[in-house]
Amino acid sequence: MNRSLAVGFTMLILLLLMTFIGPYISYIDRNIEHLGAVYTDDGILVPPFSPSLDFLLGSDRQGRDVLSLLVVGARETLFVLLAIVAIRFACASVLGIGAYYSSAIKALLALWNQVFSFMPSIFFVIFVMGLPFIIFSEQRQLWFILTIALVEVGRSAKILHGSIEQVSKKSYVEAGVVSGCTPFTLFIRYFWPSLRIPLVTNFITDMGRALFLLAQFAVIGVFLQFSFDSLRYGGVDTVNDSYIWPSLLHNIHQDILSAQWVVLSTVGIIAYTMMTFHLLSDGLGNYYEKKYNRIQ
Amino acid sequence: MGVKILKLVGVWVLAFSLLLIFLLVPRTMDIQSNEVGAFVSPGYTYSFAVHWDNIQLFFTQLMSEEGLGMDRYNQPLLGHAWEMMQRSLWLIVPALVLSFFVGIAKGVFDFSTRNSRKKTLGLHTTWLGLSIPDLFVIVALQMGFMYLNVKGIVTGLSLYGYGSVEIIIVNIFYLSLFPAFYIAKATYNALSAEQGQDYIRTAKGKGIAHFKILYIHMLKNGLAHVFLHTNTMVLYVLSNLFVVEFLTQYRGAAYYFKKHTEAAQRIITNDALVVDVGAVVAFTFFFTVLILISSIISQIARSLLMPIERGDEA
Repeated sequence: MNRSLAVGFTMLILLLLMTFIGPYISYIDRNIEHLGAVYTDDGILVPPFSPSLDFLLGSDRQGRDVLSLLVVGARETLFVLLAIVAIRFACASVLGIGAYYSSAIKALLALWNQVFSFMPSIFFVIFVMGLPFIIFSEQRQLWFILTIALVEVGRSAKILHGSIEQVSKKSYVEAGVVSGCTPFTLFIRYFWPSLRIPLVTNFITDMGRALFLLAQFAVIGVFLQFSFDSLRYGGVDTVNDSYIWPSLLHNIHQDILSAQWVVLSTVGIIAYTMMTFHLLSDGLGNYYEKKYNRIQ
Repeated sequence: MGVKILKLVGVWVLAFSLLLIFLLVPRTMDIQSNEVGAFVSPGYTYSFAVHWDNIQLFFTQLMSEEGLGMDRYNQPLLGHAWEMMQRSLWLIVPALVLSFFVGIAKGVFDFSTRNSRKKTLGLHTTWLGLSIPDLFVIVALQMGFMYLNVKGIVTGLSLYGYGSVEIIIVNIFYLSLFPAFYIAKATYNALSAEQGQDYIRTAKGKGIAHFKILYIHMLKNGLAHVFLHTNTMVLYVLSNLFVVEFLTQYRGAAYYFKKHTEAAQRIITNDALVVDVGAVVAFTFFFTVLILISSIISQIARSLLMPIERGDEA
């Protein structure tokens, strides 16, 4: 039995239920209300509220229910991850598969990887995201997604290129060449079946990695989305306006001391999601491997 | 091998220049406000001429006595950056060495217990270590320490800022956590790849002890493949350094690098987005040189470990 696939799949279903059904449960505050001070029998309570029956996971400093934030933010989070990884793999497929057919692309890929081997991803993103035309661009979310996607394109392309090179050395491919397949048929019928396994498993693993990277950025204060608030005396203030999970970590320094539930819930859901992707990727890899061996 | 090292240096020059070009992009704005003083637009347009001027100015200053410039306490920025880098090196180098050796030991353990009951301790813990984000562990431990402090069980630990031994130890642990598991997986994979090889069968046939085969034959040849992962490991540690130094307020290179590059939250004046180029260049230089050195060490180790690689492509 493929345990990782079964567990991973169950966890994914739960995650998707939370994402798409969750916001419609009456307990969840879909509009994310900011609650100020609350009068109780014991006196006045100010946010952050600790976990209670009203706030199952407590509230953050602005009096927003953490559980609702996580549920409402799930859709946006998953969408951003999907966008990052989809862009990354679209570019990586062109580079990785292209490198097998064209020596120019191969050289480009090698150079790309060597140059990026000198740049830690956080480093690169900090450099790019500080540029004025990106900060003030209307499409800065897109720029951010694009930058994170591009940072690791080389790595993914290298994996794909490695896989296609490996397959090309197998004797059944030689047989295909000898029997006169066109390059196109050769690719679709011979390469693709083995190539889609690393493609799918790495795609899923990368969604977990991208989420982790976003969390790292949030901790050090680099955000995916923000809007500008005009200041009275001129100029603007950048304000985070997204419900994406990592944005809940923006106050981690204070929260770790006095509102631990905010940090624990956020890091917890991120860990849960990363494990889901990891299990799914492992499970799918095993599943394909077994299926492939059975055919042989 | 000399050619390969030269090539590495060449790529480093290229990567560093690219970062420099990014850094010297003009950042001064011409903020437009309306009659009541409210923000209308940043009034920023990119101009290649200004960019080019910036680059020229940077190099003339670098060559003159000014060098990279002074910080606000009138100390040379290069010295400041190097001092902060040394603090970070106290975390980075031990973390790299520790995670490398512990990782290999763990990988060997995982491999030798892969079919036994101890698998739960071996392969399964490695899997868990790779799929749980280390941020989770860091946050949990940090809270745990605070809890112990509040309850009066373990008191007197200094877990924030720079200057205590315990913060260095704890940070080294945080930094080496994920890379150790990563290297364990790489070692396990390398050993698995060696397993079916003919020379292993010959060694077994000759009746050499299992222990000897594992350490002398398989590990020695497998190590060359493990060294292929050192760059990923170094990049991960450096990225994570930002998180760890920020979380524990450890005043090291990553902490100050972030401070110097941080885009202002409040954009009021025209130079709100201007960064301290000298400082950032100094830090970037040290960080990338660190990566270069680790790549060179890894390259040398690979050439020494894998006889087939001599004269062959790595």
